[in-house]
Amino acid sequence: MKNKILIIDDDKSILGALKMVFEEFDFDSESISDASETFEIIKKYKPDLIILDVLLSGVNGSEICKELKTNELTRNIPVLLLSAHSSVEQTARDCKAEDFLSKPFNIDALIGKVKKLIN
Amino acid sequence: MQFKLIKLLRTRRKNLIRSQTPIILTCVILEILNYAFIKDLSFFDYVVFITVILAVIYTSVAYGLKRGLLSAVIGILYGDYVGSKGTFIQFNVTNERGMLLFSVLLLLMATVIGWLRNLIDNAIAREIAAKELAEEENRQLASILNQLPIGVLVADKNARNIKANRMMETIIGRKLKNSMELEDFRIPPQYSNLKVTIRRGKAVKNFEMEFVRPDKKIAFVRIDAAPIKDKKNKVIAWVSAVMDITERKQLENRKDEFINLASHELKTPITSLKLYMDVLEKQIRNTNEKKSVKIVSELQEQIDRLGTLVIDLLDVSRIQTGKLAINTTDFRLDSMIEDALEVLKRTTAKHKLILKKTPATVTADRYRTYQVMTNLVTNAIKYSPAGGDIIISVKKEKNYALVSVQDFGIGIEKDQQDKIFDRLYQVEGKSSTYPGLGLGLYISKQIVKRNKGKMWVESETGKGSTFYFTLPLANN
Repeated sequence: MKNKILIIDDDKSILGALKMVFEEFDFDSESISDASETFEIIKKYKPDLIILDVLLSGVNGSEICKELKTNELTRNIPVLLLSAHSSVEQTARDCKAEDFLSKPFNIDALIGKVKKLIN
Repeated sequence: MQFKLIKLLRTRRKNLIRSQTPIILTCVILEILNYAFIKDLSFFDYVVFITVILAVIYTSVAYGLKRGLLSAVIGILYGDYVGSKGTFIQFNVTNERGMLLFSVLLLLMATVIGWLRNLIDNAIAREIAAKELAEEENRQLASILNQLPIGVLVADKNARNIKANRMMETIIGRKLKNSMELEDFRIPPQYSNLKVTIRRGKAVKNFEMEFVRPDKKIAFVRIDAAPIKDKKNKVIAWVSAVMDITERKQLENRKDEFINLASHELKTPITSLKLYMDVLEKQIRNTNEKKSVKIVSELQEQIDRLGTLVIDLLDVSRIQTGKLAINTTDFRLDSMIEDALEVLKRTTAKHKLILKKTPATVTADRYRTYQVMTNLVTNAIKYSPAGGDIIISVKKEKNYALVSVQDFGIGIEKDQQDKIFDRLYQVEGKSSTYPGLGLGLYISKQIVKRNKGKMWVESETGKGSTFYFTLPLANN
């Protein structure tokens, strides 16, 4: 059975690119651009990994990450934080995300981290 | 012309008559008294003598030397006239000798009193002129100060009795008293070191201060102050210039915000471009179309360059505004470098990256150190186009770790070696062969500096370059 990845990002081009990459590397992925649906989708989809952008329109990605890490249902799902900001390492530590990637990143770095987090 | 002359003569005559009135009037009154009432001529002589003396004294005191002397002459003539009538017996000498004595007395008196009077007059005139000049200069200085587009403060050596120009009032947003103390300026407590510097009479240079004006607006000022010293090098006063830099600060902030936003906005499309390109490359490699593979790898290289430029621009903007965040942790420098080289190896086929390492744990920003390492190795690859070895070493020195990156490429000329760490510097004449904004080494050096380390280069043209940097070792 394929590993499932949930991508939360409000940028359609990133969502599209990530989906294509995961397809290429034989992962199953679901994407949402509206962060308010996060918990609903997680309940249904039951992902093995969540990829989350820090800078979402309207909501703060690190706040969502904190919620995910305090909720009983979601706290054990690893979170990979994406950000264009260089302080992403600090942000990741603060909201207890398992790992982070700063934009722009390449496919090797992404797949390397994804594989490490799922196993 | 003629009219002017007549007018001049008339005023002169009028003045002369006015100044001689007391002595002439005295003579006339005495003559009237003489002929009408007084029969005792010897007593009259005495009265004439005293009165004429008094009249000459008055004229000398009131009108000065020249007119005093004229009065004396009139008095002498009158005395001579009275004497010629056979009087002046009080002097108990011959009439001629009495007359001579009287004349000398009058002239001497007029001279001394008139001279004194002139002396006092001149002194007073000089005093008045000096005072007027000083007032004029003060007025000029005040209007010059008030015209200046910067605030100016002048104070005595104890920072008391402060005088300020109009611009100063505009800058701080309220009226100033004629005389005030340093405390009256309500310098915010976080800038108390400014007050200390001023009180000690030391110069203040380019001191930037933020404060809230009475109208609740936030203002920024730049302060430059210097003591005024006397010949013995003692501070006698200080003067300071205060510039309103609020607008400049706001513009700077807006520029930073813009660069920040622009860089973030640019990073997202670059990220998706990279990802799509990676997928495309994977597919094209499977088809084994050589030309397409070459095109895609060239495209990838250019996207990477674009990504690096965007990151560099953002970093420079942060360094310039002092907003480069440094998050220090303890980490194994040698392992981090090994990881970095693992990635960098894939970017070149012509070079062999050799790592000589000793275990070293440093206290620094891991992300930023990774960036420095990437930059130095990328440069080593870029500036040794013929390929060859690139030797990277990590050593432990006294209380720091020493990293070196050595290439055997084109090298850097002696006179250029200091400049390469400047912002926007590119080795002269090489910008077309080796493109880039020349920001990498500037950023790297600033990062190392912020991590309490040093960076330098040793190089020889045609033989290659070795870049060194240090980072503090973690305690135990």
